[in-house]
Order: sequence, then C-alpha cells, then structure tokens
Amino acid sequence: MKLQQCIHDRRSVRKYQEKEVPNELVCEILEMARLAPSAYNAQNWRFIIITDKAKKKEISEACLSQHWISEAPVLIIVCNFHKKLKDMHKEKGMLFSTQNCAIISSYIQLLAVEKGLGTCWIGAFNPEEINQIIHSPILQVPQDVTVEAVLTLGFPADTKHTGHIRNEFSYFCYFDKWGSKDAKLEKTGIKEKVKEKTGFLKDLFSVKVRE
Amino acid sequence: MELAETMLARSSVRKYQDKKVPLEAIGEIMEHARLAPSAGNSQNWRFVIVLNMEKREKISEAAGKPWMKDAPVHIAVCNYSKKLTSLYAEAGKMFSIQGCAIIASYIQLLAVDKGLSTCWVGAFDDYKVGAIVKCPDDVRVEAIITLGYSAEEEEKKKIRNEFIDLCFFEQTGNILCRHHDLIKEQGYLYFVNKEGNLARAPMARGRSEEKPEQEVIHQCRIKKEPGWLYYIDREMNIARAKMARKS
Repeated sequence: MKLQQCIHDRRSVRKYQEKEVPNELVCEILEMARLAPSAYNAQNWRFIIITDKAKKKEISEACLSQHWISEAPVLIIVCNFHKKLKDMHKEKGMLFSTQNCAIISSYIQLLAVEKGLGTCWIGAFNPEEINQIIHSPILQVPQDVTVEAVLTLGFPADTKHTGHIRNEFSYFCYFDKWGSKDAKLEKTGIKEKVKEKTGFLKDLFSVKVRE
Repeated sequence: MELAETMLARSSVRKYQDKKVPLEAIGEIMEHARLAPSAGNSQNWRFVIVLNMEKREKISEAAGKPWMKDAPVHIAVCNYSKKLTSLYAEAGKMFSIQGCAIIASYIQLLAVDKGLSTCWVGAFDDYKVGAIVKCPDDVRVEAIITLGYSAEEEEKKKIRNEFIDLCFFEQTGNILCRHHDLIKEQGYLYFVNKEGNLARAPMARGRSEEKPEQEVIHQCRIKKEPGWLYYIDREMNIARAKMARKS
C-alpha cells in the first residue's frame, strides 16, 4: 500500500471484529516497525503483546475504565525503557525516550493499516495501576520500565472512514520565523489545492468552510 | 512508494547536495503529514520552515553540528503544548511530545517518498534555537529535521535489535527447529508459514491484491498452537514465545 494511502486510511478504531489476529501479522508488523529511528539508536522501546481476556480486562480498568479496550483482540503495551537515555542526557533524555516510543508506535499504526488492521492509541491511563500490572511476576518487566501508550489492534468492525478534521497547512507552518506568513506559502501550491478542495466541499454539502 | 519501502529506505543523512528543495515538495509533505493523530486531536504541532542561509548557520551553531548548515531546509518542530498541559497536566506534557514526534516521523517518511533525505536532530540548545526562529516563550522547539537531497554515497545498514528481544512474553526461547547453515538476507521477512514451514517473502510489498510470493526454505511442518507467537530468531532457529496470559 502506498505511504500516503496508509496515512490517509489510518483512523482510531474502537470497535473490532471478534476475529483473531494471526500471529504472522503481529510478527510482520513488529519486524518492520523495529527499523524506526531513535535518538542515539537507543531503541528504548519494549512491547508486551496481550491476547488474554482477563488480562485485557485488567488493563482496560487501568485505562480509566474504557471497557471497549478489552474487546480488542490484541493489546500492544508500548513500554519506555528510559534508564540509559535518562542517565546520559538528563531531562533531554526523557524527551528523547518519549519521542522514540512515539515514533515506533506511529510506525506500528501505519503498518497495521497496510495489513487491514485497525488501531487506537490510548494515552489515558492511570500510570500507577498500569505499571503495577506490567511489573507483575508473570511478565517480569523490570521496575524502571514505564508504560508510554497502549495500542489496540484488530480487524475493524466497520469500514467507514469519518474523515480527518485537521487544521490547514497554512495554519501551522511558518517560514523562517514564528508567525510569518509570507509569499513563500503561495509558492507551495497548497493554497490553490485547498481552494479546489473546499470548493468541492461547498458544492457537495453546501457548507461553509473556513480557510 | 510502498509504506515498507519508505521505512527501509529512510536513514539519517548528514551530507546534502547543493540543490534547492522545491516549495511544492515541502507543501505536499506537510499536506499529508497533517493527517497525523494527536491526543484529543489537539494538533499541538507548529513548524518553522527555515530556508534562510544565515538562520540555518545560526541553528547549526546552536546545535554544535557544522554539517547542518549545508542542508537546504531546516524544519523546526515546535510543541505548542499550552492547551494539552492545561487540560491534562503532567500527562498532557507527554501527549504533546508524542504528538510532535508522530508528525515528525510522518514527515521523515513522506520526504523519502519525494526522493528527499532527512536527519532528526534532537541535541541542541532549546533557548538559542527558540530565539533564532522567534517562537514564543511557552513554545518549545523539540526537534529540527534537516531536509534536502542526499549526497551520501553508501547506503547505511540499519543496526537494530531483533524484535523478539523487544517483546516481553510469559515464556520465550522455546527453540523448535535449528537451522545453523542458513543466513538471514536483508530485505526479506522470515517467518513460520501456515503449514509450519520456514519461509521467506520480500519485505517491500504491502497488502496489495496479490499476496507476496512466499518461498519455502525448509520443510519442518511444525504444529502451531494458539496463544504462541512463532518466529525465526537471529540464529535462524524456529522458536516460539507465549503471549501474555494470566495464569
């Protein structure tokens, strides 16, 4: 699948089919995702792959009781093994370690789209509760590893894409200094494209689109 | 370009050609990158695209990396975290960093698709760079992505841990079948197929209509059990790991 298509098709899926996710797909996704870049090639990411119902329920409780999480066939807990980076670079190391985990998680999300799977990134959880679960004697995750995110994974129950609601390019890009909107923006060709797109929307739904 | 291809081709490039990057290319990269997800759809990212030669020199000084100034474009990834931190406090801080990192990683991949190369620079003086691009006090520059056409000749090999070393399982390292005489070739994915045989398929193919061609390397007919993840370890053994289950 084309990169742009994957980016476009990625959405937060919160309803899944009961169908099991084949082993191969989980392997393929992780095999590819591990090529993600990281500061100082630290690769400070670790994953816990969870398929067990009872365990999933426990985690959904820790995720501020978002019960739909336990219905997802697979949970990938993205863990941050930050010790080395933190020791070496202090506060910046903490920033790097979070960025690294976010990069690989975004790779996992894109790769999942390619396999026809849906994901949802869950950031809302009780850190103490979830850390307690992963440090349980069964998993034996070291104490200095913390949970960065939980990714749900499975085949989406519906295929409807609600579309992305995002700010326009010109809203968040500046040239050479903060706040500057200069002639260079015109040259990117984006403005015309936006007009084309919004014009099309206007015709279709007769809605007002803010430029 | 196929997704997997871009992931394989992305590498940190620190030597650039003296060739301008068309603004259309930057526009197209950003147009797709902005679809990136963020906590509560906060879109807390802002970018200062630095083309000015003087400013680029100053930035490379602030980062202590002379090679940076030869990159025709610097993209300063700015974290506009005010809304998220006021909503979610400490967790909001983490969300805001993650949001910026996601979109920055999208930018890197999209650049590859445009034939461009990038390098993510994280080690620099925040305050100095913030002053150069004139961002407000409550906004932090979290990364600088250099962008341009690569002048590096050699393709760098990616040194990474095996994925199985990155995962925690209830039980790992159950070797089922040994293959000492085989060597893993780059660009191929090695796996245990449905029939329990050791097989491989070229990596840079997505889920298109046709399935990637599988090549069976060794017939060992391992019986697969549910609840286990079957994989090929670095010594080319077929091994399995038990997925996390509550005992």
